Amino acid sequence: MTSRLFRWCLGALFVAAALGGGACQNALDVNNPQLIPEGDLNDPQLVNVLQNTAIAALQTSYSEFVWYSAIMTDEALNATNDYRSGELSQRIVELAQGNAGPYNQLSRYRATSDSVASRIKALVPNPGTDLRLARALAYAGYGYVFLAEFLCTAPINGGPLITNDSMEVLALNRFSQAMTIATAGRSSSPLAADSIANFARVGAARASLNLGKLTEAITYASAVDTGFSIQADYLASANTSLQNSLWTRANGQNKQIGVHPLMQNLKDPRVRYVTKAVLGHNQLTLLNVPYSPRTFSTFTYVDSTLIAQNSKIEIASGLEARYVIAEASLGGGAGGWSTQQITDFVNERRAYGKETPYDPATDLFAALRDERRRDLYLGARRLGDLRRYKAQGVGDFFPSGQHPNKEWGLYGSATCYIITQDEMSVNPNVAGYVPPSTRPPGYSP
Amino acid sequence: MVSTHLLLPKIWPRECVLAFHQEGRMTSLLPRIRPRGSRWLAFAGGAVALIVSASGAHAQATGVVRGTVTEVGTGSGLADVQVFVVGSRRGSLTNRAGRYVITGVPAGRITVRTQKLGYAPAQSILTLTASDTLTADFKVNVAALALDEVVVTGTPGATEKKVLGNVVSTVKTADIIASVSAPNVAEVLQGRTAGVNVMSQSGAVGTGNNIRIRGSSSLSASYNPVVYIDGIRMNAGAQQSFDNTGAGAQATSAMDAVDPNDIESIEVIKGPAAATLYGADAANGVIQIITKKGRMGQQSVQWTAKAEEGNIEWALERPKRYWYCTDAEIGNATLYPACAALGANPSADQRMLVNDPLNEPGALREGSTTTFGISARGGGERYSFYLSADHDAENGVLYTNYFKRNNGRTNFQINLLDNLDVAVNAGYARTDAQTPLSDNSSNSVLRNAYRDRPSGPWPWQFAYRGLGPNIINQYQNQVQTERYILGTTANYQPMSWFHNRITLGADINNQTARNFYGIDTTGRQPWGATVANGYVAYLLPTTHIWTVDYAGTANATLPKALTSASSVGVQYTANTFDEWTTIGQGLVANSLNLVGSAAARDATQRKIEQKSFGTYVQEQVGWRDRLFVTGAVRVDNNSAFGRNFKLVTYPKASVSYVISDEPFFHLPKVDQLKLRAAWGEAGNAPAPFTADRAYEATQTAVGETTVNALQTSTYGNPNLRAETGNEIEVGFDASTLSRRLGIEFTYYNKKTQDALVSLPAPASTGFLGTYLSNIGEISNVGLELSLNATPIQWPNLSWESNVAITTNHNKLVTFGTEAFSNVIFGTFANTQEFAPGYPLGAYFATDVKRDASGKPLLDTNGKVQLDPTMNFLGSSTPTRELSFANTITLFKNVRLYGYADYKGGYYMWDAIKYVNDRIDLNTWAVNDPNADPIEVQVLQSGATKPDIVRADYIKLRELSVAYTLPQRLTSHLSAKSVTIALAGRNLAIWKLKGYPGLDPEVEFWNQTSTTSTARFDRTDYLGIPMQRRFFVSMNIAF
Repeated sequence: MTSRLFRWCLGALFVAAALGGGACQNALDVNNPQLIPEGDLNDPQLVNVLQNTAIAALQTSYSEFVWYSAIMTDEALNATNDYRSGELSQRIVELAQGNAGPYNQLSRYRATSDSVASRIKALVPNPGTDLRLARALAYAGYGYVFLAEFLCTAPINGGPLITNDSMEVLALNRFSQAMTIATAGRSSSPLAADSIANFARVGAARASLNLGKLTEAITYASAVDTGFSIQADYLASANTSLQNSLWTRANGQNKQIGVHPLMQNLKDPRVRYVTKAVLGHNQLTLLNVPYSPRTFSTFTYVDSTLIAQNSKIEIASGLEARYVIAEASLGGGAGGWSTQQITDFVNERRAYGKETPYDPATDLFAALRDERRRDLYLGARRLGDLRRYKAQGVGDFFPSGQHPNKEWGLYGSATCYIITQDEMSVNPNVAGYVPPSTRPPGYSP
Repeated sequence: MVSTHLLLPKIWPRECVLAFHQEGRMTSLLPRIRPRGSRWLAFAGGAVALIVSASGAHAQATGVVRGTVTEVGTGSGLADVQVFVVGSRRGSLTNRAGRYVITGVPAGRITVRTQKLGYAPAQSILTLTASDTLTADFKVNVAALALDEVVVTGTPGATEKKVLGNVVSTVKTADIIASVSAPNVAEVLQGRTAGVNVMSQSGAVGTGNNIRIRGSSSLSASYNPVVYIDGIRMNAGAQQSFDNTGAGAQATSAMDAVDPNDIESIEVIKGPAAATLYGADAANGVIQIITKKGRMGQQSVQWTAKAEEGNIEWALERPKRYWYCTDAEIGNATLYPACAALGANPSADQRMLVNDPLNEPGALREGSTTTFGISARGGGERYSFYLSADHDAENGVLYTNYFKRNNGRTNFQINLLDNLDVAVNAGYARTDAQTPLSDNSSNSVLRNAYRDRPSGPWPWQFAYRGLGPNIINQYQNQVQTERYILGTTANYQPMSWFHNRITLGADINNQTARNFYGIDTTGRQPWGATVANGYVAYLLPTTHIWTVDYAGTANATLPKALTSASSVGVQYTANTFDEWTTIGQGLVANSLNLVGSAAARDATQRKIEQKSFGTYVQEQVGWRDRLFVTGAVRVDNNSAFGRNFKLVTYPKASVSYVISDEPFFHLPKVDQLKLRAAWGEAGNAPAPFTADRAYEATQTAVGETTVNALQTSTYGNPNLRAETGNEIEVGFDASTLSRRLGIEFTYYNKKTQDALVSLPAPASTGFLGTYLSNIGEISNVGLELSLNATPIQWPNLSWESNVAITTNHNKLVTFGTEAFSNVIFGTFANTQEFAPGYPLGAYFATDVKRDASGKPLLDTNGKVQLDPTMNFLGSSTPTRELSFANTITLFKNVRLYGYADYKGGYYMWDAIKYVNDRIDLNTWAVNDPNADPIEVQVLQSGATKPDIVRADYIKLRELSVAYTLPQRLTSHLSAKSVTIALAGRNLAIWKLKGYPGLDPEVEFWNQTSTTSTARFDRTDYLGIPMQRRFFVSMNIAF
């Protein structure tokens, strides 16, 4: 029996080992068509998809960038039921808010578009003229611009914290490459190349303005076609990632967005809203829900139109380039406009807004800023603008004092968003970062 | 002889084949099959030989054994006792009167044995002559401890408890169901066995439960045990549906497909020390569900029918809401219309507004429960069967809550040869459920009732903050399931010493979830803009789990009174999850609600596969049938492991010593004593596809066109591997007081090494979410004590009592990295932490600054000051549990059953009170004009300590009285027995430490939550409390 047992055991072990070692190598193969391993992205057949990936990285989040820009400034009230999100619109920014801020979305957009541009560069046969690469680079450049305008400071690809100015410089590098390639590759598709070049020029002008490089800003902006416009495209689709997310924030029972009192009563078609206030999602905040502003494709000059699923949002335009020229010129940048040209521009915009002409006895820059906030209302510019005005000594125009929702108390002091505790937990290069307190006196979460 | 060789695997040793011929009955049949040179003929001959041999017993001389099995003491006949002829497949089950008949018993000297959970086996040696009928009556004793009770261990054949160095708990489900019905498997398990913690997530019908065995062993992987039914791995997790992916509605459970009425028993293998043979998924324990079977040889068919009707009611307090109107509010009709309606200068009493929203029409209803079932079990000489069909329907107290199940089961076993039997077990269930919005949903009845301000305004219905029941009760979100659990097991014993078992099976779980919103007719888009123009969506998840399991054991008798059992096993499990979602927005009419008819449509697809392969070798050596030493090694591979990690090895060792069998053993009053110790390891595999860094497909718009794009998905970890659970358990099993008191005591020390810690992906790289890393260590230490007693066993009165006591001390030992600091989380406030040295998800609270006497310190403005320091309070899960069940039988036909359980040593975050006090300002505590204003300030300061409260409680879970009609009455119905029962469930709760919330058992997040913080979040925020049930049932046996 013992011998028999021994032989049987040997046989059984052999069978088990054979099954484990050989046949089951394939038996453990698994398939998940939803995922594409990173290594498989280096496929020339994917170049067009990679280009779309750079676009998607921005568009998927762009309406949320609009939201985050609006709620920290004087553009919008936030009635989200999540009180941590509510704190952001009270200008209170803390690590304990977790992922309530825009850091994750901004980082994903920036890193994705930048890495996609690098991949396309390695995959296309003629990177010096390939418009797909130029487009990806332009989108990557905006990734750095938005990161600079929204975040107080941030790391890049797991590195240390860098300043907003450093981000703008990185943006200019991408825009510069995009302009060069678009110009060189223009013969293959002039319309597309011009659009990419204009997109990059507006971005470069915006970054230069933020950096205080006014002459460069004027140079870039002056090269932009007046009629140029590029939008974040959204569709009336059942796929939520294709929709303008402000649609759900502005509609339905649980509304979240209302026009800030500082933007009300302008009687300007560019900033229309529902005059009857309704309680928002938190059942505390009274909201005057915005209609489509000028920056939305569903805007009409004549009528008030609801924000819709497919409201496309302007990312960059010839109009914005003119604002850059005007502001940089007023700041002393060379090659720009005269005071009269600026006044004419302001009056053109005031007429559009059904305002009386500019009074020369008043501050022209204030008038220019006022038109800019109306023209670019809910356009994801206001936070960057207010930060620039404050940083460049123009003034602090962030809302302050008593918050319109009186139960919340006073505004805090935040002027930018911060990185997350999560990033600090796993990125040793940013461990130890201590954001300053932004709570108003007497505030407890 | 030649023909049969063709049917046997060539790898078998020659001895096996020879032994087969020598020991099997085929030798007498084979001369009838004469090969004539043709292989085909030889093959056919062999096949015929096998088939004929299956009925070979007919030709053999046989007799009949019959008799009655009664219980010692009461003298009552015992039903469902297995009576079988040792060494053969012949046997029977006793009927309600305890009678049995075994036919086809081979003539000769035979041993007839009885077996029933909870009773000592009895046996009788008889000499049966051909065509004779012998009577063998048995009187069996209640056995508080049954060391020869057999359990499922992963190896083939019956394993007696006495050889195990670890504890395996058996829940006698059939006995429990006979006393009081249970709607699902989890409620059968709740409190029945030490070490198993079942937390009901919600009182809504059809919702799932959270099961932990010996504490939470994992931070980021699952802490739930794996579940097998008749050897087939089954899906026991949460079912997918709309609105339940976060905390919007509780999920239904895949375990709902199993009807408790079909279960004979449930065995719980509690930790790595016992679960090594189950491999890389078993570190959290294993639950083995064993369904009812027939018994070969049983010539009659036992029919039973059951009907049950009951109600479900909200028996707990319905909270009132308060508001004290100030002059300013009386003047603000927009925000405080009810205050403004008071007019000028109201009295103090008039200023106190009170609403009672849950008593408003449409809020709650009286629910109902209905069950019909029929089953049959029986068998012939070489086959047995169990058949059942059952219908359950429950309507919850919220109007949008129901659960329906129609299920059937067929268990068929055939004895093809004396040494080969094949069992086919097939279960089918069709469920249809709708769980109401609750917890974090903004549109639930409870949310809008609890958060009502009696000052108004009420945008939709009086006393409701947002939507009211008039809108909420239109909610349509169903999940239907078609479930097939199919398995076949062949047991082949070619030689008396060699037992093989192979099991093949599949758990097919096909779901259809439907979410529908009609076209908004209010113009106010109550359910949001997305669905306002009509919306229909279907979610079609399918989960297929395939099981292949071979195990073989060779037994040998060795010199010096030693025995050996050598086992090998190979298991393969493949889990495939496919899901399609289709959405249609913008309907022409509510009646035209196909997705294809909608103006905008979308479809998405998900697919996840996970496969595992494991093999083990085990050697068990026994000495004089009282000392057993076991050693085993298992090797596993899993598709979820990282590319840099392939195989994992789990060892185990155990010793069991029935010291009471030793001649020197003389402990007063102790009848049996088994000492045991076990050590072992088992794994807990990470989720599939978490090891790879990958992108996923998405779409974006370019102009008016959609184009394909990618987005970052999983950050990945190429070194990812399974967690390793490492456990030592020691204990003893004893019986005393003439076997009337059984004691099982176990101490366990379980460590989870290489614990999977979910780290956030650094967003600066573009990847969001989390990734898993094997860096942590978690410890669980505890005691388990089970007492099973029969204090009284008289002819007209018997009393059985069971007590299970459990302690568990859970601790996160380390994160394994300095870089990763404490994880602070919570809902509505930071209340819990993953912190080294503390229980997983322990509560930490903030308080206001206080002086030495505990009085709040005030600032210069007379305001309390929040101290942001978070101080440890205690565990968020019970650290002590006790259950107490009693059955009293009077006059043999009246049975009283009661069951209560206690959970203690833990805290709960009463988040709704925190929100009500601080944000809604609608509790009595903050509106009471006589309240201490300083204490009101504390409640509104943001300090969490006032609302993190000890949650210890005792629940009277079940109470029933059953009356079995006298035989003279039932005979008129042509029935063998008729039992009528009146029962109640969740009858009372005593909150021992003054927990202010309704039910400290509810869970905020549901089982579909995948993040570690959500899984450990123990927030009490608008969960539906357990509901009281009363039901009357009738059981008829024919």
